Amino acid sequence: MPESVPRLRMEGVAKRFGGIVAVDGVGFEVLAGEVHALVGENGAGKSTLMKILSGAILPDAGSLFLDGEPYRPKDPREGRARGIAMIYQELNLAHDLTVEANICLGIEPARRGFLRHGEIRRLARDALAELGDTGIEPDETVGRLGPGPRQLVEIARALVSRARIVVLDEPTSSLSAEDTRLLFAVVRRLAASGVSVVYISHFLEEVQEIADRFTVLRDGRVVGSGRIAETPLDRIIALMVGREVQDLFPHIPHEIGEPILDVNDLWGKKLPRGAGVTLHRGEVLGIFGLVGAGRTEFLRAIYGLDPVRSGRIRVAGIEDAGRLPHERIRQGVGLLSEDRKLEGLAVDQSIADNLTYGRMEPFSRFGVISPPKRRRIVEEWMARLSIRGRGPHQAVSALSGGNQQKVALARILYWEADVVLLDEPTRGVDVGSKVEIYRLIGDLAVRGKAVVFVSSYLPELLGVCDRIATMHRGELSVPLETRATTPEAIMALATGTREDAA
Amino acid sequence: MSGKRNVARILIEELAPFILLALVIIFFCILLGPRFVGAYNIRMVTVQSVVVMLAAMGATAVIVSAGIDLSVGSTLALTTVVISVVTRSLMASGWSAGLASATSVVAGIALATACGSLNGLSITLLRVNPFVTTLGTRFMFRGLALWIAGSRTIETGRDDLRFLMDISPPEAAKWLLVSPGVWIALVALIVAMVLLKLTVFGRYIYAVGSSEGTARLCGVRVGIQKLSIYIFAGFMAGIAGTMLFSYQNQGDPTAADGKELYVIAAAVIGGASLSGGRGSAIGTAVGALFVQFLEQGLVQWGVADPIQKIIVGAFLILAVALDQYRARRWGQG
Repeated sequence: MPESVPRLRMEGVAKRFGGIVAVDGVGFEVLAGEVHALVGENGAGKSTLMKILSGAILPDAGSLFLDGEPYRPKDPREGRARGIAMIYQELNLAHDLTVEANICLGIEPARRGFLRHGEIRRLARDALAELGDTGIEPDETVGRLGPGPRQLVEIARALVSRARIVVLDEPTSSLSAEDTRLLFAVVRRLAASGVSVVYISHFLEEVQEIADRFTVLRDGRVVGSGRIAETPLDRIIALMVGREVQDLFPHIPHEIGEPILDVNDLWGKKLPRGAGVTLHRGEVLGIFGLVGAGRTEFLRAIYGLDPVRSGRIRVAGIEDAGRLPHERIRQGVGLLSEDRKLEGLAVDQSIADNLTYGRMEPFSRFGVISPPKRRRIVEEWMARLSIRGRGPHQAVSALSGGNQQKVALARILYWEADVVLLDEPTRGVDVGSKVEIYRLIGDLAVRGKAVVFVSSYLPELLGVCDRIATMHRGELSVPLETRATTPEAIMALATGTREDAA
Repeated sequence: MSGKRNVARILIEELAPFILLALVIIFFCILLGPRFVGAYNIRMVTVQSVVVMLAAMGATAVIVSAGIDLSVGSTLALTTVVISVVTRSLMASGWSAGLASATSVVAGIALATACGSLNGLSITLLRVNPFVTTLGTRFMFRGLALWIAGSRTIETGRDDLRFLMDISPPEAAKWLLVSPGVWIALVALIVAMVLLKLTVFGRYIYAVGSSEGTARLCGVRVGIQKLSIYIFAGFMAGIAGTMLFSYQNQGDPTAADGKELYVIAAAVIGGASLSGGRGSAIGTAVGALFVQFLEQGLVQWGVADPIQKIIVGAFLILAVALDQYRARRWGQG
């Protein structure tokens, strides 16, 4: 039901932080009752724009209108009062309280300072009912709910405070497929009842499924918008990255050699379930699958970070050289973690430290480090991967996401690993760095290294990998030659639809 | 402009504890006159900071690894008791005084090191977090000290170790200028600085404290690493306990009660973060001196003991608040 006056109109909104322009002259319109996707690479200005909407940031220039009325929130409290509900990836719920207490948190109906429990319950139940059949019990403790239902509790809270615009920031990144379906059903109900939803996501397939219209931000500017139904996905990607898709994946010819990693019938504690694969020198093997399919667990089991129930892993033909990480590193295996902040890097330590963890022998004797030697080595690697920072002593936390990821990658290259396991190497990385990472993977293959490339983003796997296997519920499919397959075939394997058909 | 800012940033970051120390010394010099930095006063303050400084070298490693050690005070007392008991019994069985003293020191340091191992084992094998583990062993080690000593102080009737912590160096070694204990603390400081900054082991202490997951990913055997850190901390507490024995010249099972808090305060004032990954030996040493100069200044100014405690506590909070401000202003690290 589009109306003549849009729910939200932003005109010429600009914001700089120091010398950096975060958003620049942005015009953005959301209609009442629509799901509007806001897409763009990291750093494109999406979160700045949404913080301006919520009142967390004051814009330097521009004006905002809510249902035609001027809107200039001083702080998030005013934003909430005017009907803006932000639902972030890190949810703001009190884990020890019940669902209904959380839904009414901060707006509890009270009489003379005493809570009116009956009223709280009624409000919460009404809000939950508006979401449809979610199966969430109002008296359940929030800490016992999964990430999907927790998000729905946040949405219910937004409803109780009579939100006009609900902003969902990467809502599905930690959800199972089932929770995602439930969330989508709720989003559709919200939109049907007249609430506007701004949907921020990296997963364009999802955007295609849920959104009515889209707006693309790049480098702080709006570079395109339109109706989802009328726009092919390739076009949106091209707008996001500012170039045609095929230019993204530099193809570097390389030759495939002898087997180097042989995994047979590997069972983890839960996942993977009987996964096996043979990897050759000079080969880039993609593993595609949905979040939670067991791809990460597969890599961690190979690397020795997670316990293995049974199975055989041979590196360069040898099985009994130990399966703990420090032994794997010695055998020439390296793992890039999907969780850069928690496991990939010690972010408050220096580039030099992070780059050389795991291998300090080249610049130390009897356990004592020679700082000048270390400095030379680190500077050399920073140059080789064009890591842009002030120098080896800079803390990793001060680097951009792309440069952080390059430090984590440089470490594995510096280890001289022959088997390079990459878990979502391009997540949270700007496009420029993404292309550099693709090129690096190609270089590795040229130099006879074997690469396993796990990703949720199929186009990059199709662009970079020689073969692609899919993981579904802990089981790894037989790898398909990339040239001889189609995105549809891989998607079908990953979602298990082919099994159902057979 | 950013270059200048960089220099300012590095200066403030590296020198913050020194600046604080200089300020407190200058303040009391103005207030009490130059005798505050006279030879005698300097000798006294440095001797008095030796025990905390030695123990704090180990505690810095622990804190950098995102751990904490609340059992230090009890370990110190236990060490003094062991030294005096062993000395007495060896001399009773006819050993020479010198040999008995030396052996008892080895025994004391060995037991303190064992205490550190116990902490480490509980943290790594039983997976009880450092706070709870060392809260428990704080009681245990104190109990052990009281038990061994029969809840009394134990005199050895000798003063062979006394020279280590005399305010002035012995006549025969006047060239030392300050007490031998201060030199021992200085050597320990240099060892700890090298250990933390310049060894592979030390870099992994920071790695574990900053991101245990990353350390594990990079092949650090985190359990062994932590165990070693607590063993080192126990060893340093043993040396500190020896100095405490030398200072009191008796085994006292009730000694050093709450000393662990001074140790932690020294590290924190010196820039260590209790959430791990940050801290330095030199910072901690300066922090220990800062607290000692502050207390001594207040004593000489005639400030009553209760007020001293209030002021020391306030400075601890102030030091951390300044540090937080620095972190917000200039970013981490």
